[in-house]
Amino acid sequence: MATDFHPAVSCRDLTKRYNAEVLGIEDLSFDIPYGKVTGLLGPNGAGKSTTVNVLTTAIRPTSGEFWIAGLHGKRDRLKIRNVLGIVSQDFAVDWALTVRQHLNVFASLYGKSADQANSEIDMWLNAFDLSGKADTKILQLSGGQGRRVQLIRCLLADPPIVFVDEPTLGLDPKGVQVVLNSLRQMASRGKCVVMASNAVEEVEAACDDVIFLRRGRLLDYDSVQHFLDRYGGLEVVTLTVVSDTVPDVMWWGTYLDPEIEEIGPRMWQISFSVDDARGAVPSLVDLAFRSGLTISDVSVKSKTLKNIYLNLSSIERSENGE
Amino acid sequence: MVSRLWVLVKRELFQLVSFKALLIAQIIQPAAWLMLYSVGMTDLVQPFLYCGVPVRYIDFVLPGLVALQGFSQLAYTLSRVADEKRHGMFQALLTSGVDQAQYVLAKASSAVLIASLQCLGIVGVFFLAMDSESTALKLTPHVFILTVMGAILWSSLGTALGTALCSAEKSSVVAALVGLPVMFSSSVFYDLEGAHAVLKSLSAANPLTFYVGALRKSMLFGGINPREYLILGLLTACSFLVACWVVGATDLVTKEK
Repeated sequence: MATDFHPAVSCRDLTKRYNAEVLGIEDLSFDIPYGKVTGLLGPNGAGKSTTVNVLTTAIRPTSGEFWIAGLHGKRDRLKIRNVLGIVSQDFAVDWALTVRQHLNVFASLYGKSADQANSEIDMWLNAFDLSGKADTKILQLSGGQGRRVQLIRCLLADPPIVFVDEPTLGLDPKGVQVVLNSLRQMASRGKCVVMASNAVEEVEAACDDVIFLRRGRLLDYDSVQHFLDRYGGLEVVTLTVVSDTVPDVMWWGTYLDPEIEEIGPRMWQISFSVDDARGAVPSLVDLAFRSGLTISDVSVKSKTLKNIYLNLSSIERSENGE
Repeated sequence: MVSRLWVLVKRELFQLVSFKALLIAQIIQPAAWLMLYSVGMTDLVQPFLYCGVPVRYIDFVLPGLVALQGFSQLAYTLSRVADEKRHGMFQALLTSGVDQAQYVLAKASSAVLIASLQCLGIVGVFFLAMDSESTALKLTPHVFILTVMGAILWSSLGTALGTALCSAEKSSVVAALVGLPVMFSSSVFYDLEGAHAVLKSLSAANPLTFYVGALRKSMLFGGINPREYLILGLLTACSFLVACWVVGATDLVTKEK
C-alpha cells in the first residue's frame, strides 16, 4: 500500500455535469497519497459528495479520468469496488436486522470466518461503545449509533482506501472523537482516508491535507499547516454588543460578511474575518460606536482552518453578489 | 462465489423474517383471492371449453392465480431494490465484493421462497376446500418447477427495473405501469381464444401468457410441452442476464442523493 508507486487516488480533468444547468464538479485534478487523512472541504454544493460518488464509481464522470489504487476508473470500474471502503452520508444499513446480524453479513462478504468475524465485531462494538446494542435491531438505534455501525462495517473490511462522507453527522462529541481517532489510526496503518466534511474543526483535527472545493472546482490543495500559513493573517475579531434589534452592519463596507449571532437578551456577537486584527479593531470599535451600539467585549481569535474556510466561502458569496 | 451468495440469501431471509406482517400478508393475500374472487366468479360463469376440454372457471383461474403470485415478485423486488438503492445499501453491497450475478440471484432466492409459500398456501387452501372428485386440477412437480422459474424470471425483471430507476419514488408508478397491462393482456383471468385481435397480439408477446399457459396445462392435463419449458427457460435466462447487465452498468446511487 504505502510502498505502491502510484497514488491511492488520482484524477485528471474530472468533470461531472448532471445536466446542462447543474454542474457537479469541473476539471478536478489531484493525487491523494496513502498513509494520510485527506479532507474534502467546501461550502454546501461545492461538489464534495459528487467527488466522492465519482471516485467510488457510484456515478460516472462526464469527462476526465481517474485511478484508484492504480486501477482505471472506467476500464476497471468493477475491480475498483473491491479496494474501497465507503461510509456514505446516508444511513446505509439494514434497518430490519440486528447490529450483529448486519455486521456478520458484511464480515462474511469480506471473507472472514465466523469466529474471526465475531471477535472483530465484539472488539469494534466495544471500541465504539455499542457492545450493549449487539442484538438490538438497527431500527431501534439512534442516528449516531447507526452511523457508528456503518463505520464499524467499513473497519471490518479493512480496505486500503476509504471514503467517508460526513462521518460525524449526528454524533455526540465522544462519538466524534472515536470516529476521528479511528480514521487517524487507519491512516497510520498506511491506508488512504478521504473525508468529505463541512465540520471544519474536525477536518483540522483529523486531516493531514485538505482539498478545498468551491463551486465544483479545486480552489486549493495543501497540508493543513500550509493552508494555515498560506492564508495566514486571517484572524477573527468578535465584538459583543448590546442592541435591542439585530445590529445593522451592512454599511460597514470594508468588512464583508460578518457573522451575527444572538447570544442572550439584547446581546449580540458580530464576528469579522480580517487580515490584520491589530489594525482592524480600532476601526471596528469606531464603526460600532457610530452605529449606536454599546460594546461589552472585544476578542481576537488566531488563525484557524475555520476562519480560512469562512473567508474562502465568503469570497464565493461576494462573487455571487449575495 | 457460492459462499457469498449464501450470505446474501441469508441476509434476504433475515429481512423477510423481520417483516413478519408483510410475509403473512403475502401468504394470506392469494388465499383471499381464491376465496373471494374465484369462488364468487365460478357461480357466475358456466363451464367452458379450454383446449377442447370443458373446465369450470375455478379450475381455469386457479393456475392463473398461482402464476400471478410469481408475477407479483416483479413489483415486490422492484420496490425492494429501489429502496436499497435509495438508502445506500445497493452501493454498500456492491462495494463489498458482491458481483452482479450474486445480487440478482439473492433477490431471486427471496422471491422463490415467497412465491413457493404463496403457491403452497393457495394450492393448500384449494385442495382442502375441494374434494378431489369435484376438481379437474392435479398437483404435479411441474407446478413447483414453474413457480421457481417464474419467481426467478419476474424478480430478475424487478431487479433490473429497480436498479435502472433514477428515483425510488417512481417504483410504485413503474410497478403499476408494467403490472396492470401485463396482467390483463395475459390469460390469468380469461381465455384469450375469442378475444379481440389487438389483445391477442399483445398477449402473444407477453411472457406472462406463456407462464400462465404452462402452469394451466400442467395443472389441468398433468404435463406440459417441452417447448414451453424451453421458451420459459430462455425467458428466465434472458431476464437474469439483463438484470446482471443492468446492475453492473448503472450508477450505484440515485440522483436523489
